[in-house]
Amino acid sequence: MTSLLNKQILDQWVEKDLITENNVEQALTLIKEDNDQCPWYIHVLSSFGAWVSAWMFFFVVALLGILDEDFFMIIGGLLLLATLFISYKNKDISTFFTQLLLVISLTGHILFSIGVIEIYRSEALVAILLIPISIIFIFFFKQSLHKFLSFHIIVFSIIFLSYDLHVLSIVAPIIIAMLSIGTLFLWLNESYFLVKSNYKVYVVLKYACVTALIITTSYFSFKHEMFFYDSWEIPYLTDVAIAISLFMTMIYLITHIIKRLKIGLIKPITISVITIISLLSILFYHTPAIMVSFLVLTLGIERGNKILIPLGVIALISTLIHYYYNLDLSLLHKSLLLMASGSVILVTGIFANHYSKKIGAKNA
Amino acid sequence: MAKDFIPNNLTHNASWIYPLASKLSMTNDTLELVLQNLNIIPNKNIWHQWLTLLLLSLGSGLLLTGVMFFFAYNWEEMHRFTRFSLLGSGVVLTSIIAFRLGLEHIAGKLSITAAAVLTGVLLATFGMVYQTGADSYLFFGGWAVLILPWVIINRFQVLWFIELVVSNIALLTWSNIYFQSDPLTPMIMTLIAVNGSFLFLREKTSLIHKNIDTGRWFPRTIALFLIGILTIQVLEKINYIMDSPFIILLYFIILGTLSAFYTLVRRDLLVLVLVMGSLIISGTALISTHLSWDGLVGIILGIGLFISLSVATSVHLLLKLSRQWKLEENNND
Repeated sequence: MTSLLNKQILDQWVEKDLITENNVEQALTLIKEDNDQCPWYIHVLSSFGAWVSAWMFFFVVALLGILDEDFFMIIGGLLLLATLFISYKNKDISTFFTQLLLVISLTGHILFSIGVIEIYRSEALVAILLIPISIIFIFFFKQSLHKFLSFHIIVFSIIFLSYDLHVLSIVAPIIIAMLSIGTLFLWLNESYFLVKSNYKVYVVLKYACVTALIITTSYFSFKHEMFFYDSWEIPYLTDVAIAISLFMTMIYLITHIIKRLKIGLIKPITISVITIISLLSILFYHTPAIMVSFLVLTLGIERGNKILIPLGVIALISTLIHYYYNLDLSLLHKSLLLMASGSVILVTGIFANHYSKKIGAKNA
Repeated sequence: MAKDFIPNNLTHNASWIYPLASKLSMTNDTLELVLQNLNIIPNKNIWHQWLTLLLLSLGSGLLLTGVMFFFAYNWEEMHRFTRFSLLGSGVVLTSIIAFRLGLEHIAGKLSITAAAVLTGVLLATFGMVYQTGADSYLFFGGWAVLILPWVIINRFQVLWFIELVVSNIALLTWSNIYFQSDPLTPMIMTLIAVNGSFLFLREKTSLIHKNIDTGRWFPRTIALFLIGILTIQVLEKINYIMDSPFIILLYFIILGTLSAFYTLVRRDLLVLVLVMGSLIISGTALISTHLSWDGLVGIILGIGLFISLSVATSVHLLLKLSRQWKLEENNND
């Protein structure tokens, strides 16, 4: 049944000159190979086994007292990181082995960092050393998970260094702007990158950019519970700069969608959407995670991505819960605010539903 | 449980397109056209579906949370009749909206769900105002019974989920009161009987009526709940396992039934993974408490070895089964 459906789709593409007749068989083989892939939950079970066994092994090593000396921690960490290059050229290794390497990598990073902190008493030095190591990982190591992890280590090392050098107020908006621009660039030009032979590197980067953006903005949104809070307050101008950069990114995304759908820029729907985004940006200017959730969700829908949409929904729900929970209002006022905002959105939804039905009837 | 409200660009599995584009050396414009052709990149209609779905869900979610907070505040200045009228009007209004919009549409389904939640808030407010002193299982049980007709006619998995959660809370609170001497065994039995029967009915219905939504999250959640409570029971009794043969027997019967059902009747590898996971967890707990090892290092090495071997065996068996099922599916095609 499924293969018949796929054959029909491929025949349609041949008719539309998107692929040639010769490509159909090749495409059907690829579709079959894709269907035959192992389900994600078996990968999860396999990964679970790898993580538990590796951690147990390292725990035994720790119990035996081999890594009690700080110097040996650094050496041990570097040795573990070096072991990863054994599988350097091996692209197709099993999930179990991939996860095992990931645990080795994480343990290597942790041991190395603890060793350096203990000997030199400097967290900043760890951040400086981890950046080049992670860059090497991204460019030379074949495994996607390590590239993903290394990208995050670079971003968070930069944030930590900026904090240590007291320039985080200036660097934070720049990092968030770069991440959001990077996210848009990688996702909106998805087709351009996916036709390249090394498209797997791109796939890692596009997801890494999104998750780093969500984590970074969540940190700046909910700083009250973060460990930097005691010594650092985010200045008002930093909040505004972050909000402006996210607003600009969102407007760019909306205009891209509007242009693609061939809706005019001065149509009521366009003006309403831009007005809503402007209002949301002002309302949530000190909670950038909410705007980022909207950005991820919109991008997910625009690209029809089954990972980005749930990610956006979960981020939106959790940031909204956090936002309302932390509002400095009584329960009564919070409830009134919730009811008012809910009613406004619901009424808009009912109008959208009505309009959607009208369009459906018109098309029919 | 129609799934017509799920926007079209999520219903198609398109993971094969990307390797295909790379292998066939498509240009980026061609790939973009292919994605639009499959409606993965949404057209105007799909965008409208998404906007409607998000606005209606977010709006009703915020509104209902607001209503619950409002009445939880126990606002003394508001007369009790005003509170009842407000909530009653809410129930009536949402029901009328659902009737007007029709239950085949997402807005109608969400309205009935809102009415069901508001009914619970109304019952809670009633209990709060009159301090009825009734046991909490009466509140949850009454709520579950009252909304049942809506749940049946609505055919919406989210509302079924709410019904099941409320019923489970009613059962838990009821067992806590009536089986105080040994609350655990009857409680577990009741929970397993109710949830197990529901799961069986749900699966059988979806097998008979192929046109209803076969979305797997709901039955899988119930299976996870069943396996979860049984595993917790076994872990709690792991130190004196020989004194609790009933729980152990029940554990193996339920896991065996689930494995047989999801292998022979309704093929679902995820439930089998959950069963394997439960067995590995229980096995690990058993060997760590009952076998004598040479110090902490020995215990940890032994557990690590057991987990690695059991996971490797499970993965091997599951992969074999998965390949066999796919082969059969391909032959049927």
